[in-house]
Amino acid sequence: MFITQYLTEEHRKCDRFYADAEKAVSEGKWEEAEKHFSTFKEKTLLHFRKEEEILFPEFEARTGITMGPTQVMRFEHQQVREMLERLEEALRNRNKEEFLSVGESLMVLIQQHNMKEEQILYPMSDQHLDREEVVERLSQLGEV
Amino acid sequence: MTGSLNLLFLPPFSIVARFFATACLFGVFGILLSVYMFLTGKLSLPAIIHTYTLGFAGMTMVGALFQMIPVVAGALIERPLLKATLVHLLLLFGTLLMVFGFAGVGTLLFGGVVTFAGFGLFLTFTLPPLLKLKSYTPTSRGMKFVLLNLGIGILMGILLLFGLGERLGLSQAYLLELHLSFMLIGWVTLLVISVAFQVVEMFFVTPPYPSLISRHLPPALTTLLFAKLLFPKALAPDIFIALLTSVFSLVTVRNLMNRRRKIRDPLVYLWYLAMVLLLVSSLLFPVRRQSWDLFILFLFFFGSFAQTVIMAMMYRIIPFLVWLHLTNKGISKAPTMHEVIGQRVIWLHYSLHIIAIASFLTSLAFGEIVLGTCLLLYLLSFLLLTANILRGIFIYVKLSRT
Repeated sequence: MFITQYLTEEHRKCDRFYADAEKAVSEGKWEEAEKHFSTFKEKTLLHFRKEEEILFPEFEARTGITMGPTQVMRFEHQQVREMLERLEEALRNRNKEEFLSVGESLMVLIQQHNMKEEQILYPMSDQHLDREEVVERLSQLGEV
Repeated sequence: MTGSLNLLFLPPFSIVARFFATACLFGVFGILLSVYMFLTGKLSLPAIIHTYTLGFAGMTMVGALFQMIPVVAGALIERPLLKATLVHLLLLFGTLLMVFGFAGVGTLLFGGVVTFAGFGLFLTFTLPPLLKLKSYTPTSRGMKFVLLNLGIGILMGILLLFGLGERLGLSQAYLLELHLSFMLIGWVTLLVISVAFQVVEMFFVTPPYPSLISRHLPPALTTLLFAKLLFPKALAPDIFIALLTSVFSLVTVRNLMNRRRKIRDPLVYLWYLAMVLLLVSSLLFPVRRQSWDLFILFLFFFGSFAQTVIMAMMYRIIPFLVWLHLTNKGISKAPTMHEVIGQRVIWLHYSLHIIAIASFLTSLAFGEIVLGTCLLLYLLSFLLLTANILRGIFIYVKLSRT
């Protein structure tokens, strides 16, 4: 399996988890929203872990590019983590407006981040790394 | 540190801001120009059309591409501010000179050369990184064809302006037909299609486009445009083009209906509206040459489709970039997207936009009595867009100085 295919599918799954949380918030179903959001957060952070612990170090070691795309991706992961905290706070305060507004920014941030990974980083990783082995190691961390 | 990292993919905010603000002002200018022309009886359709195709749509799309190409092609545009400033100024003055030229001031040819230089320069910055890509997504592949079509479209335009076609044995009617087809279908429509492949699925969490469409539609549309080069009077390429763009609009509507994000988002409704307008303009495309009325109707539906997509694009890009750039500058609690441009005001604009479209269609039946109201509604619509976009830009300027 290609790294691109494996990790792109994880992006789409996380999007679906977020959409479920957002729908529940917009309908005022707070308990359901908390459940969906918790899944979204857990799976998103797992996806980041897979990239930061396995893919990025492999990519940097093999290509020698340490201050390029992987650094930008790490920085954006940090931005997403901060947004997740803000969303959690909005959920705790039952603040629908705040959740939907922060959520919209998060969603666009994630999508432009995903575009860069899917267009640039993953294809480069497929090209330079032993893709079967990398996918195997990514899977060992769990399923998104 | 964070700033330098983001420079890799994130051009300065002022680039998109200047293109979008200029585009909005051209939108307002076009209505004022139309009012002036109706009052004085000196109507010039090419002047009005180019105010919108170059000034409104062209400005927006070039600005958006300065933002998107680095993300889509993974290639940094070196010294983006200088390049964007040059392209912006050339397109701004080129468009104004052309519009006044079409209105009879005598600046048409010079305006054509300046505009040609603007687009030419833009292509030299954006086409090479796309051609160098080793692997393509449907969006980056589509954009390659989009920029190629833009190149051909502007070349046809310049041949047309200087009457050079006749020296090459090509009639003006032939060049006009190709100029219109390459610019409206090959550049505007195909750019919307290519961007949609990515943004519709990702932003609204919809099912993906069937690969038959996302892989083959851009080359198929481009091939049909090239068929028009060889057989400009044939109806078949027009019918196939209409068929392909209709299928795209219907599949997009189906995908949006099956979207996972079920919240009431005005941008979804702008996309629905845009696809309906594209469908109608596609149906009118093959018959547009049969009568002047059908041609005007085609142009109106096509223009409304482009305007609607542009509204959806601006209302997402500006709030997001304001938030992102302010966050990157370390401003804690930078205003989120809905705080930059509120959802209510976008809904208001959506309703106003539909009423304006309806008023134009009514004016076709009832003539000048309704036309005045129609122009007023369009003026309000473009003023509202300008106010909203400028508000976003001012929020950025104000907070980034604190």
